[in-house]
Amino acid sequence: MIPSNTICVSQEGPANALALNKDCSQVVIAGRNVFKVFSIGENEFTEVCNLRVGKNLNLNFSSIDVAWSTIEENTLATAATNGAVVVWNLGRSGRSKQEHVFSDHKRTVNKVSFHLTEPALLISGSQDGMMKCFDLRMKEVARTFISNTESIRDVQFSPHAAHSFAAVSENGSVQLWDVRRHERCLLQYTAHSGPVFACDWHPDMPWLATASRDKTIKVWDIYGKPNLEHTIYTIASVGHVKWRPQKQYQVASCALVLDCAVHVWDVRRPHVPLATFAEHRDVTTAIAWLAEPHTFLSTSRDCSLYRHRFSEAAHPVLWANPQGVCVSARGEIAHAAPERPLPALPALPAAPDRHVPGLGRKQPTAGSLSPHAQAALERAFPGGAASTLSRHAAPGCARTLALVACARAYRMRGASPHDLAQHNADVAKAHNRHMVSHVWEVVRCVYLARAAAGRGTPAPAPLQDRELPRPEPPPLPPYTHTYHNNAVEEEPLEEVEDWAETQFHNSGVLGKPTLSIYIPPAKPPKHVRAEETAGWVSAASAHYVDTEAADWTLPEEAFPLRTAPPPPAPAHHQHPHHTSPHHVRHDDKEHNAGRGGGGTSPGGSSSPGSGSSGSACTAPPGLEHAGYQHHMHMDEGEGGDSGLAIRVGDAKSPQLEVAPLLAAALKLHAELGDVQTAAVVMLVLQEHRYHAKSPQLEVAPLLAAALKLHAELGDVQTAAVVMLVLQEHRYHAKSPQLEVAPLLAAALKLHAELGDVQTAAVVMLVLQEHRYHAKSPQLEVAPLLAAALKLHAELGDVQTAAVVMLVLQEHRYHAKSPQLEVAPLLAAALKLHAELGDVQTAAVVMLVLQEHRYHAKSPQLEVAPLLAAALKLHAELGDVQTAAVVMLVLQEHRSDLFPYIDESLQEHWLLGYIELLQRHKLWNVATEVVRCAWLNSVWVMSQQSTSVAVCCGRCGRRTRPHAACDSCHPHLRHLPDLCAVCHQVVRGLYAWCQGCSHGGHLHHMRKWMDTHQLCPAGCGHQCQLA
Amino acid sequence: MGELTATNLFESQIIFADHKDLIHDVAYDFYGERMATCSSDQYVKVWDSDGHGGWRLTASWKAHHGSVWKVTWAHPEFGQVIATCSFDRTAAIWEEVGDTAASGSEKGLRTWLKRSNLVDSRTSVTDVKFGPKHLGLLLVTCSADGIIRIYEAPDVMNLAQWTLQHEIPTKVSISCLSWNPSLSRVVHPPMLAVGSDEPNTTNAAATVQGDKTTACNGKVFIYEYSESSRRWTRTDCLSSVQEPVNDIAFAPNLGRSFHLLAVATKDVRIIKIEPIAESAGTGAGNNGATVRFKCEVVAAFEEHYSCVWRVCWNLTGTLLASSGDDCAVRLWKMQYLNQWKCVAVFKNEPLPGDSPPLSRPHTTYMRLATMANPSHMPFH
Repeated sequence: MIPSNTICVSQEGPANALALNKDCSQVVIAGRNVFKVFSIGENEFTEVCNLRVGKNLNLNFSSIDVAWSTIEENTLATAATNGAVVVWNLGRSGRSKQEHVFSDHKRTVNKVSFHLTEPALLISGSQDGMMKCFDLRMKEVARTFISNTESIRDVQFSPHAAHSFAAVSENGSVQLWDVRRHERCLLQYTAHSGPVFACDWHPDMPWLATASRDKTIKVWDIYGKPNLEHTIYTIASVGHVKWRPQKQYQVASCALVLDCAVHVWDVRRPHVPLATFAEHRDVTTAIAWLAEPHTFLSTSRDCSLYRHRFSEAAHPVLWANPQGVCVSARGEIAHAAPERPLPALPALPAAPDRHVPGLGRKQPTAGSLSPHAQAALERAFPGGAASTLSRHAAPGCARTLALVACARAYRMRGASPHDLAQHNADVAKAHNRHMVSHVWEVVRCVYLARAAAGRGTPAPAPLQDRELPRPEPPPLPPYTHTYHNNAVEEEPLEEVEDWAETQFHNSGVLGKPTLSIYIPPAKPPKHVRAEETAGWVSAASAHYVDTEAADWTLPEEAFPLRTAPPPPAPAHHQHPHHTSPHHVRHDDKEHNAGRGGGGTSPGGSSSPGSGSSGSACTAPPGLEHAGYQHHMHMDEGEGGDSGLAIRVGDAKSPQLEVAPLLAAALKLHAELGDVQTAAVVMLVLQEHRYHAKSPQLEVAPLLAAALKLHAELGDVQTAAVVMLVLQEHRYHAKSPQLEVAPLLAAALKLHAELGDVQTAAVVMLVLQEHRYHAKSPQLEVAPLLAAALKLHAELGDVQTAAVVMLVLQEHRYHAKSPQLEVAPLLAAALKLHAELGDVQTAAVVMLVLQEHRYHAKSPQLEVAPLLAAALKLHAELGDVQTAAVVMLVLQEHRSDLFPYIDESLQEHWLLGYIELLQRHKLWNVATEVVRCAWLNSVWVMSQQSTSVAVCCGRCGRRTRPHAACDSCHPHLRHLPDLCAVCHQVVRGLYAWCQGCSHGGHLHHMRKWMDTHQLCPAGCGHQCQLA
Repeated sequence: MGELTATNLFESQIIFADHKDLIHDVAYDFYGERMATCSSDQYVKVWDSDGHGGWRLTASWKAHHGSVWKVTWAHPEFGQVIATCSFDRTAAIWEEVGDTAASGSEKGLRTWLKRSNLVDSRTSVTDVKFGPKHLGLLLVTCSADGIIRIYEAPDVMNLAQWTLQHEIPTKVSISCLSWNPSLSRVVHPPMLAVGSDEPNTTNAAATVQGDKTTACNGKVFIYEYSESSRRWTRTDCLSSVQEPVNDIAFAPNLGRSFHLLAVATKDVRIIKIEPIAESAGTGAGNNGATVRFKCEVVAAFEEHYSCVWRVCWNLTGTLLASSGDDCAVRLWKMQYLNQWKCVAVFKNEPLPGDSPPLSRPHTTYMRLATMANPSHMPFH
């Protein structure tokens, strides 16, 4: 139980003192009831002699202190409580070793000490304020030194000057005496503000350490004028102090009360002990070093005698927390770190040395540091320790600013929800919070429709509304306008899609395929028109391409999809961050997957918008390819056709305008480091040109350039895909299917060689699809898809499977089946996403779904849970602002939304938002929130601890609320309060002194107070304008 | 993209604190406009922001007779009040007095009066924290002998009177604690997390003794207050943390259904604590204290390569700052897909050998690591 190097022996009574013999082989301990000599063995103490024997154990045996002659082997001296100084001779035969008793002191003797070189000289210090020097040969008092102070607590001969000794007394003074001159002391000064209990001479330096009840140890340079060199601050009265041998700056101390441990201090690091020994369970009464720096003995009031080894010391300097860090409400970070970090200690003792001493338990685990580590530690404080305090702050912390700015700008009431939502969406967008803006847009959309519905017009009315002014998303690209005006007829569904396109821009996941693929049967006109404008895509092929797109778009999640087609710069402007990094990631991943060879396991979570390329989110490569393929296809078939081609075709404007815009967009992308997008855009542009006017001759070189670019970028796969697309293109342009097959086969081979079986499978599927369109009925699709899904599932890519299911679902729905089936599947997919940790995708999908359903048939009842889920998502991501403000805006409609949010959660959000506002000192907004709140527990906040007492401004008497003063003169009663400075009626803010209740216009009062002390009304009050 | 670079730029400034020994804690007040530091030199200093990024020392006093381990601010609703705890086995409550409003322009130092001294501990008081405001004026301390003490000031106007409400023995040495700051009174009962820095050897011994409460070898314990039994009970022990814990911090919970707990041990850990709906414990009801949590280590970072000393959350619980023996502050942020990533590292270059300490404040600029997809985060 006891650490191996520490040994211990228990006594019948507590020892007050201990002393070592000259060669440190034996120790004597003395107390009121104990007086023994032990020999110090390697692993144990052995009792050599018990001096407390004999018939009459009088008070002479009750020792306060004991000393062992440094010269004579057998001579001991004790200081007894009755004032006797007893000399013992261990060499005496017989049981009693008592040699002589000096009974010269009147009161308790606190200390005896032998002269270091004269064996016959013994000095004592007593409670009576006197010190006596005894001559052991003469057995008489040689000299008596009268301190003229209070009791002497310690006397110590100096090792530096043979005849001088230091004495410390209870009145805080230190005296230096010459043992030969008893008339007066050499030196006297006040060292402490309380009693000094002990002193110790430094073995080498002319230093004297004094220990006091004022909880300090002071180190004095007593060479000439005493000079305070160091002060050590401890937590309790210091009872004893002993310099550590051979260590110039280290001193051991033990406390008189409270603290049981022995501390060893480095005087240069005066606040934290270097080492602590906490074995004792009661206050330590004495300590003595064994003439070497690694071992010392201590006795304690717990009746034990310990030998401590330094290797078992605890090191508070190591476990004292050296660092502080704090993040403020303003986003500032303060950090305090040591200027000199502790030396790297050997790894071995790192864990155990961090123990806490003084646990009050029996055996605290002592940490053990190797001697090397100890030495390193001791060297660590040449100049003490200090910390560097630094603060780090972003000059304009974006997050905080956006939060605060949004908080200021948001409107929470005073208009219909959709107006508020639109305002707030604009605010959010203006502060680059796109996700938040999306949420607001959804709210707006939903409640706009509802408002419209409330007016009695089902769907078209809001459409008309919006079509004409078209105010909402401010930076709507111009082409959308044209597209919108031209292409969007009265059909609500189309409007939906358009909305999804522009608003979600990238996230029109479900809307997208619906628009271009499956809806066609429902609304042929669009495609016809598309055909006309584009002039090259047959309806069938468009369908084909789109189906493919639809199938594999979803897994990609919408974002990247829509990025690829190059919307003119302004469109990008909406979501630059969203799209571009995305894209890059994607493609990077694709590379990795592709080049990584067959080993790429499609990770569980394909991260749709995954900005974070963590290990967990390796996207299934096949997916990416498919997606990529899409880009291409879409670029051609869809993006090109619905976006650019239409625009060019319908709007009269020639290409002249397109080019600069596109160029700008490309530049933007390139600046963002997204060369790939640029390349793709080039491709599309290519396409476009081709459609617009040009022969294929131009396409080829450009494509070749793009492919080269890709290849240079190491993206062989993309190159392959592009090849495929090119292939496809050729096929449409002129050529028969005959050419497709070999090329595709080649591509597949390529992929397979690259280890990308999935892509191969997908391509096969597509090819399949293609065949299907070419000739065959749908019957064949199902098993193939099923096979593909199985494949995916086997490959561990559940997400793709789910998404494909979704799409398939979608497809079925359009083909034949009712929506009933969509919901559970989507729910499953969302769950899947959520399980995979991709809450955001889930939310966006939900939002889109929301949108979709709403347009599809819009039972508003379904909106609420989804919106609630989205708000919860935001709250969980740390954005309580959105959650709270959306709730506030919608509170008029709370009956349908709020059932999905627990009241406790509502309260939590509101309180959280209020706290956030208060932290930023946005009191007005916070108060507004409290006012708007519908929850009693929140609303009551403004009612608590605020009592309003109304006084009459004229007479100062208290009035009834909302009533004129009763006691003033009736004539005056109804006069308004006047400004005390300008004597005009105060309208608006009335500032007044709370002491005398006189006041007036704020600026008048301020101006007055700048120059005057007294009240402007002349009442003589020393006003204070709080 | 000038705007982006502007937000990524962090400005670092060194404040000449003039503490004579290590600074053990830095604490901002509720608004982030005042800062308190405490040190082994037994002093506490209070700094006020001048509103332009500068900090001015407004008070400095010897607070204890031992190293001051921690300093913490009370909610401003209770006045300008801080609490400190120290190696000298006491915790103290200080209040700023005097004309804070009138002579704000005066250069003179403000005075802080010791309103109360909590002397119940018999060993070093290792941490002190004020409770969430809605629980009243509560103070919790923990000490090296493993006793958690919860004090309450029944009269918030009288800071001299603190009654010891609860004393919770834990049997292991406690180094740090954190209140769950959740504002939701209904869903989340008052909750405390404490971390132990007990070295593993003795804890193993304790486990051998067969003590059921320490049977879990974890170093982080969750305590909850049960309204019905009016007692604090240990409801969980995070077995995922086995190394001595140096610091612990709940993320501000402004509306999450779960709690995030950051733990500084050998590494930085973020633990998601999700209260499980009472479906399982319905039989036991409220008084069963069987409400368990689903705990999940969301992230563990070893980038400090050494002991991590402190962790601290930002206001919304979206950013975590940690500091370790590498003397660097690392900022962690949740990215897409619940992944936590390092977004910045602030490193104080350790001074070479004997060069004098920097006595002059200077400013350096540091570029924040680019975030993967800034605009994907809803809170951007």
